[in-house]
Amino acid sequence: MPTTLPLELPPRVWDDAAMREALRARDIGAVFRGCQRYGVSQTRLATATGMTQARVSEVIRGRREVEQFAVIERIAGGLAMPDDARRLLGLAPARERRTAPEPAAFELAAFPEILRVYPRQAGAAEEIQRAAVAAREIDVLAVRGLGLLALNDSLLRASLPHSHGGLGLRLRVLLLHPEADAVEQRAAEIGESASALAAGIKLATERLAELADSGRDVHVFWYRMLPTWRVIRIDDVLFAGTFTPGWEGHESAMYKVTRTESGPLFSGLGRQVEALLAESHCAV
Amino acid sequence: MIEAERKAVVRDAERVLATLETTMDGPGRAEVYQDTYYDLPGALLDAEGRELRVRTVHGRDGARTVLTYKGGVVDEASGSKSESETEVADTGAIHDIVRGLGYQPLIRFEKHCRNYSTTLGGRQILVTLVRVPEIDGTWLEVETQATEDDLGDALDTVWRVMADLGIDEGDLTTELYTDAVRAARG
Repeated sequence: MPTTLPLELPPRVWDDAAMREALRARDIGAVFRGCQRYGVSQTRLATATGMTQARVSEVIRGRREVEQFAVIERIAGGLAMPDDARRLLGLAPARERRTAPEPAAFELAAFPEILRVYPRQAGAAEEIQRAAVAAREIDVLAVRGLGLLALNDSLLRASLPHSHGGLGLRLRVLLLHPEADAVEQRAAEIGESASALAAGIKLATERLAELADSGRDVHVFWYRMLPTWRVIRIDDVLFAGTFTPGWEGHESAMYKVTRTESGPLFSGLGRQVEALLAESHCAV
Repeated sequence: MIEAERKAVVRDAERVLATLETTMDGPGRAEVYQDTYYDLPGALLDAEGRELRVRTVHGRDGARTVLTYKGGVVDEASGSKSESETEVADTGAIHDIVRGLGYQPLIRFEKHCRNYSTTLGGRQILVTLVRVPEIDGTWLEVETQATEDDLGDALDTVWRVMADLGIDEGDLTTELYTDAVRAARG
């Protein structure tokens, strides 16, 4: 293993929203660029992580990606990442938590991450539409996205590319793989035929492909896991329901969840979406 | 109108929370404010202590967006400013309008709030326990509406509410969240 000289950065580096996004995406180039914003040179990054300065430069410029687990582990150690940053990268904790459990309990009691409860998705639809038009990122975890298609108008407007007066929204939609074993189980749970459910998923995918064809930043992924959570994340606000036997997804109650420092739901559901994205087939 | 407001660092947040839950008009309302501060090129508003803000409030009753203009400071000790505020129906449109008029986003951040209402000396008082994810600590804000003529009385009432909650005078601050967030971001 190369010789490393660990680098201790101010804790706020790891609390920065862009940095947390970079960690979550395992985008080491963006992590390095984040460190540079705090005055860390490429040479210092190199000595901290056991890489050559030339390699650090390539990573920063996006010419090379870091994917090897051992290298990511070495970078996390070299940058003395706190445990919550390591977790975002998908690594095990290395040392004691920065915050004791008591402050987290106080924070969640005083500033809960669940801000509202809707008895059905329909109640949340208006709020979701209003939030979507000012959004930068939307992630949807659904089965066939019926509710999503109902929101089509607002998504159409929000997903206009920046050059056409829109905000340049990135829309990522996870739908159940039409050929997954789970299609049959889910169809039985809601009293439909598997072929009708699969056809519905393909139809939704085609509609979203039309958006992608018109130059919008829209991607559809097909996952194979048994549908469990229904998630619509709009920037830092997330709407969560569940797929349960006997209920259509839109019949589930929905929580409106916001990103907080210690909230387990926002971070857990966000991680679930990222994990499914990583192993799903990109259909559009 | 003038927003007569005082702000303090809270040293014992759990005790203050417990007191607020039992002494205000009902339990706290958890809300998340998503604030975008706009300024003219050259940060002209910021230089004069003025503010133009688009705030989306996420709470129990849904989300609403308000546009707020704050004029210069009218009371140095508390940092109170004149304020005009109106609710807007379309969040995307108001951001487009403000940008279209030549304003640029100066800073964007979130405040996590727990709001309480109370009445004292015939005044409606808003009491807010605040955390800003990017900066350490918990704050207490107490505010009421005032005119230029009764600003002194309004600020006295605000202070009485804070003192009853056990806030020490030495913990009063006029530091702006915008400055603290900017400092935290380097």
